Amino acid sequence: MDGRTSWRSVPSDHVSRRVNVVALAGARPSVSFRAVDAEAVARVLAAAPVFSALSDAERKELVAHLRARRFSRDEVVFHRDDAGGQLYVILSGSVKVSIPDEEGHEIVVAVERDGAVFGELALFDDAPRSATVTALEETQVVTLAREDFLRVLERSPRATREILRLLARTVRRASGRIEDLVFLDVPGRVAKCLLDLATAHARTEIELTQDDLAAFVGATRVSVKRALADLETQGAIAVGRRHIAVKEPALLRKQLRS
Amino acid sequence: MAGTLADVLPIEILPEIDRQELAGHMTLRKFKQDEVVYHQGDPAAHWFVVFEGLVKVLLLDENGRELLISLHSRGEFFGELVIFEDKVPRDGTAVCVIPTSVFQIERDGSLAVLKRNEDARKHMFERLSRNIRKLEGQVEDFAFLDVTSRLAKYLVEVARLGRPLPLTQDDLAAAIGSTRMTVNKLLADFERRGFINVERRNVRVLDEKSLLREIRV
Repeated sequence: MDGRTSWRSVPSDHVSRRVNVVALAGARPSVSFRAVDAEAVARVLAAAPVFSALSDAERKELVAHLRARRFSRDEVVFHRDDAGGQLYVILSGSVKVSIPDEEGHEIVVAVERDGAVFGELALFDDAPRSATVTALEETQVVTLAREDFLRVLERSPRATREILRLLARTVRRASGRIEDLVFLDVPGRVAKCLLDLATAHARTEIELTQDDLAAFVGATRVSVKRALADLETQGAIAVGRRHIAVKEPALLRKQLRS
Repeated sequence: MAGTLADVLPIEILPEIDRQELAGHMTLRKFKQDEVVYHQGDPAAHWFVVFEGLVKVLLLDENGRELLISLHSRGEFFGELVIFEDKVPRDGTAVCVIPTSVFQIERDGSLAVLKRNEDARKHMFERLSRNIRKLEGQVEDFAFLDVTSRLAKYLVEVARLGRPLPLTQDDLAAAIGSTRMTVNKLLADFERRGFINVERRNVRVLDEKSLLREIRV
């Protein structure tokens, strides 16, 4: 039932190789190869929002319209104000969604991991990209063109409901971020961000640099560093070079009652 | 009722039978100034379209602090997330800023209509997308701009809506995440420099250009 679990049990390098084969499939005469690879990608889609609402047959058909792309760490997937013609699904890896300003500051609005969908907003109102997306690590995605995606929605009322729910969730997330920026101090925002990411990704290790974290909570690197050091002294977290481990969620939660 | 509804909703995209059905699922409700339409945490079964007046949506934290997240005037939706998410309580409190009438529309009835009408669904997508972009803009403002810049920007945005919005200084403070005292001081400063005119429950923008120059990252 839970497609996500079965997908996660597939080692990521194994999946990447298969997806690459899909990308090259047009150049390969072998039909049997193609069928196996399509199945692997279909498995990811079965656990992804929106696509999970489709039937197996519909998903398999969709795979033919997907293109595989790979990004290395810190590589930009798309920039804010780019034209937005595709929807992205993360097969492996993770990305940050951020809004840059003219002076080179950025605020990170979300971090997305494997199985997540992003870039959906520009598909609906034909406006340019509202944010920049950057790979946080080696990341494998598949893209679906706007027309193909809209065709999916036309055919499946359930997929439509799903994408509307995804948009509604984005609305809630954005207003929640504003609330945090207004109501919480920097240590509170750092604690909230770590708790949210740990919950969203169902794990205690969060791969994020201190710069990313500062951009996430809308604060300077210095004040974030201080807040992290405090939380580490209290035993709430352990800070590594490119990751932070949550040790005591209860101690983090205490920071939210300022 | 369908006649007046057409002024605020693009119901011409619906076939006559669905127009009738939608009309059957809604009521026009009148509220006094400062009256609450719904409270944060309430269970939700309806969404709303402003027919006349002005509605503010506030987010409240545990300490009773208020954030004015959005304003809704004639023709605008609020509480519409209920259509897409089942059994999620209200994430804000909706209060009428002035005497206001709103169409209250049942969730289940409108879902059935949406299910049958591709164009209506597209319309909702566009509305939601616009909403998200606006919120992302607000996130950006709160992260990058100081209080002076946020107030200047907010005053310009509100003035651009075209008609005076009867906001109090408390409302302005809640909208930019500051205190009434700070807002009062900043307004006095803007007024002294000839950028604005502070009236009772209204701020008139006299010099938009200078106000925009106050916005610094």
